[in-house]
Amino acid sequence: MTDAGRPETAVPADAEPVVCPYCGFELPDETQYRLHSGLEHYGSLTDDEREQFKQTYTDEETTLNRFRIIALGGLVALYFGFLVVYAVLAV
Amino acid sequence: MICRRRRRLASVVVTSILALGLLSGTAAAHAAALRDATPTTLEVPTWLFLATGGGAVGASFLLASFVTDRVFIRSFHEWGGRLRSPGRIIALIGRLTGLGLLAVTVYVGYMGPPTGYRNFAVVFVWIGWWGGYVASTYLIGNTWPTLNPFRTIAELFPSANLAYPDRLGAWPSVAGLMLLIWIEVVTPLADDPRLLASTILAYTAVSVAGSVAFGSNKWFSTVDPISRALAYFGRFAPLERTDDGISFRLPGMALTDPKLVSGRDEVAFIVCLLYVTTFDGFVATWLWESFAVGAVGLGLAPLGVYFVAYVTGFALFLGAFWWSMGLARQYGSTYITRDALGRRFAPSLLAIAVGYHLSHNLGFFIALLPSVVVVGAMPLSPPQQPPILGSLPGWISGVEMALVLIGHVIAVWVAHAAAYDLFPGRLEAIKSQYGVTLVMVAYTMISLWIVTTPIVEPPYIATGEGP
Repeated sequence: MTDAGRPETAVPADAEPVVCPYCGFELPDETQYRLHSGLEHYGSLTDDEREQFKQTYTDEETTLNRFRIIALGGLVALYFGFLVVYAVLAV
Repeated sequence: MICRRRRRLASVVVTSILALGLLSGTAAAHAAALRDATPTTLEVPTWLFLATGGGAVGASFLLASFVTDRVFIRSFHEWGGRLRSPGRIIALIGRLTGLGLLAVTVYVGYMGPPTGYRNFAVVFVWIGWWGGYVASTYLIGNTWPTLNPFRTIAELFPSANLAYPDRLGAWPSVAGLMLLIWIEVVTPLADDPRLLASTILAYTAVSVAGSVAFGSNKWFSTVDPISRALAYFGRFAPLERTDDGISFRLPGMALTDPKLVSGRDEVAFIVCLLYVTTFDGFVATWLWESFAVGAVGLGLAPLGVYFVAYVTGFALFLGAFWWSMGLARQYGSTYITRDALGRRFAPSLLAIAVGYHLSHNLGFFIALLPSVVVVGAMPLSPPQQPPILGSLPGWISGVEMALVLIGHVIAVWVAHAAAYDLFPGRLEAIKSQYGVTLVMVAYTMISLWIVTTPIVEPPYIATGEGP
């Protein structure tokens, strides 16, 4: 994916990978392929494909936001968890 | 090696000071505090202290997961530039300095006083070189290829330039590192200057033999464990010598270079670098003492117990890393092989190794630096009690803890950036770090436990003070 070329892959026998036509990189689904093509081969894409990449990239934002809320919850739980434990134990 | 080495040397110094009554009780108490990296004024239960360390690492992963802008992440790693390369004269001075120090170390090792902390060889190798110089390889830049006296000597000999078997890769350096630390653990290398001098001579002989066989470039870039370790540390450093001058960058940010680690063998070396530090500290804990005493009680040979534990522990560390790469493959939903993932994630461990090295050596180095200077000034007739800085301010231990944490935070960031470079999906990139974060949390807790557990002399091995 970088200067060193694409990382090597191992595809399970029963899987049907999406293979990147530009570099042969195997990806498990269409979404990942759209992102890969936009990030790695943006110059070679048609206008239509670029549009699809942008759409997928924007859609990713939605799932990322969900993750961020969970991560924030984790941080708050960690912080207050320790706060309470310290208040009780380390007097 | 750092941890116990430092403690043993410091404890020898402190005990002798107490015995001689040269310093007041307060100063000695401060010096004794050197041996414990944390102040114990606040009564925090051990498990809570460990959980806090682990929690801090976990929290830094969660925080890093908020940074999802690819361009922003890359910008940290691309910042840098070039400086002019120093001239040949400086390189020559460097080589001669390395050679001179090696000669003095070996000579004084044999001819100087037999007491470890009064002998220049011991204080120079463990405080000056291991505590101070090694820190400079990751804080400033790796100057070892120039200074390396073993290389300077080896290059005086002609080379047969035999073809180095490529399938061996970096494995001999892994074995070499394991062997060096094994010798360090089971022999009194920090107390006995004669033994230290002989070990250095043996190391020189092996280096020369290897260079004569395979050529000094191949030997010191592939097989020699010290050169390899310092080369990896140098990849963390802000300055690096390249073909066209000296490049500079943010510390640690070159660790995401996809070409840094090229195979399973090099991944194993980085894991080994982290592991040997842990093992060296672990054998000086009560847990190991009771285990070893129990095992020997069953009729096993003491050294055999050490050896089996040493190798098993390394296998466990490798297994844990390999397992975490399996998780990366699973949660990152990718077809990228574990090997390829491991090569990109392993360099993040170097930041942890750097943090621990600095944290374990900072107080020790500052406190014992006067010893190095005074003993170095008159190596053949050093004072009975070389001076040490007895009253280090309390905040030094706070700085040491902070350094451990900073190392981990950089490691989490490097793993984050590597994942973003590797995975097309940003969420997959975050999820791929679950395993490696878990491993880092566990490692933090283990290391903090080792650092804060009272030291006991490792059972059954020679730890005498000189012959």
